[in-house]
Amino acid sequence: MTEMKQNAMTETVMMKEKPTHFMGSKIITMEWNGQEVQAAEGQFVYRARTEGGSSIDRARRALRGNASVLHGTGAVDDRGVGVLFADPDLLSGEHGATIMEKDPGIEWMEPVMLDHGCLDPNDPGYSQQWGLKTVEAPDGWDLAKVNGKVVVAVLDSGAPLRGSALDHEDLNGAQFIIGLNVLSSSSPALDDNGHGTHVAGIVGAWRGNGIGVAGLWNGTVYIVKLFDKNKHGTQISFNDGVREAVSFAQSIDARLVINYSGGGPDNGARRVALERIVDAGALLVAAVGNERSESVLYPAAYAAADEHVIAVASVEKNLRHSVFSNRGHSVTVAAPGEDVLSTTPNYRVTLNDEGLSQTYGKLSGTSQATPFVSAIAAMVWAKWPDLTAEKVRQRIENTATAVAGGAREDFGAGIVNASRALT
Amino acid sequence: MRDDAVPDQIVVRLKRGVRDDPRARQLVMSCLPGEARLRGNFDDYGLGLIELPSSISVDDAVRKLTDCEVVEFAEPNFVEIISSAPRSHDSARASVASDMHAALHAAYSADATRKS
Repeated sequence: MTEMKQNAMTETVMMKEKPTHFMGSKIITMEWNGQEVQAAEGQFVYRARTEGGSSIDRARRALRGNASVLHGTGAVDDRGVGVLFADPDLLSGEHGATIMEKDPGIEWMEPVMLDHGCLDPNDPGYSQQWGLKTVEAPDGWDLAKVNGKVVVAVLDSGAPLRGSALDHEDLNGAQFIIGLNVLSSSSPALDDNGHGTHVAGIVGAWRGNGIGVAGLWNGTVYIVKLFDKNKHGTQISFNDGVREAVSFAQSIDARLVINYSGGGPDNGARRVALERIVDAGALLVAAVGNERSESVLYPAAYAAADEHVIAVASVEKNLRHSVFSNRGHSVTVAAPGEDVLSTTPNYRVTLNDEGLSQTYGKLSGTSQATPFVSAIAAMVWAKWPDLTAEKVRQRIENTATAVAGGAREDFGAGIVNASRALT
Repeated sequence: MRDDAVPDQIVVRLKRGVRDDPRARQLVMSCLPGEARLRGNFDDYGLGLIELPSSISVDDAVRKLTDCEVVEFAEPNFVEIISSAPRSHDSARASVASDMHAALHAAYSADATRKS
């Protein structure tokens, strides 16, 4: 068994007591390679051979009549590694693995196995990720379920790419889909600023792979570039980005959470973008802005009148309102937004000139708080797919941790809490 | 010239009911100098981006199109920015980030050594 294969297969869970479920799947005991292991029922890690056809098509062929039990985008990372989810009632882990191993398009395939010997995710940066503990993410992970039907679209400065392929050791190519560069449709969505990679990592850095940091959400993340290397876009690029995200989500019949860090005054094109979001039944999670202002930037400010929008403020490690975070009656919830460790491009970008390190680094801002909420909203939707966007927002608000003595204008309903949101 | 918008572009939305009518596009463009260009087409929500020649300002173009009977609204293509945290925080973070990066790499090296 190769080291890479070992890394891809092994998930580590953080539990105070022996868990019964992992990512919404029952934990089963089974024999694998002559050893008794515990695995998440119906979850499989596999490596596809590179030539011809998509890996999910191969998997479906391998499963013959059971094609409908598979969920997933079919994406694999640059080494051909992907994850599939199957209905546990129809396909046990052992049975599924046996069937798929017979397919020549699958190099190897195994159940997602769990290691209960360690209490924390094995990502070395996890101990520095104070925000994950603040929002009780570890307990949330145990309660979450990913069914492949929710996508978080990160509308930002793009993703770390080599050519047009994702290129970061801690961003899983099977999870991240690289979408359009709305600034130049003929160019890839390359992150030349660094902000987009940081935000994307907070949402969905590869958790439990023994590398880098832990992300919150391990479902599909869709990257759209609409800010240039100087963090500039336009109102029309925001509208185009929303259109692109809605189109992608509809193409895979998925619920859509849009994560957005930009903002400015109200205008017509922005209202059109909101119209698209409402028509699509999507949820926009937007940063309130970092101007120390008594008013919230748009589109976050739409949260005051429209429940398809969540406006996110920032708190610091001791749970006080961040001094830079804008305030106002439209603030929906708050989340950790200071000294947030996440992924950064492994090549030179604009934010390196402002002290950000390559590959991993810390940033602060409501931009960093927002993806905590986006990811938790996605986990809520993945667990309860029949909820409307409004109900997802209400659940996020109703389960937030109220801050004693905290003003509504600073914290909204409180600090978002993954464990309670998923209970 | 305004500094909060792209200098030679405006955003226009057609009124509901005329968005599929090719004459609406012609009517819009007839209000502007002949060198004005619609980038692509009006989208499914009636939104379009028009590039202006130097012979007309953004404000003048907006005024002309606001009076056009098929136009719901016309406005500058406002610049959108990612809101940055204050630099004082960035500076304070720089050394922390650097230390963290070094620590992470040390951890990776140790992990790689252990696995090899």
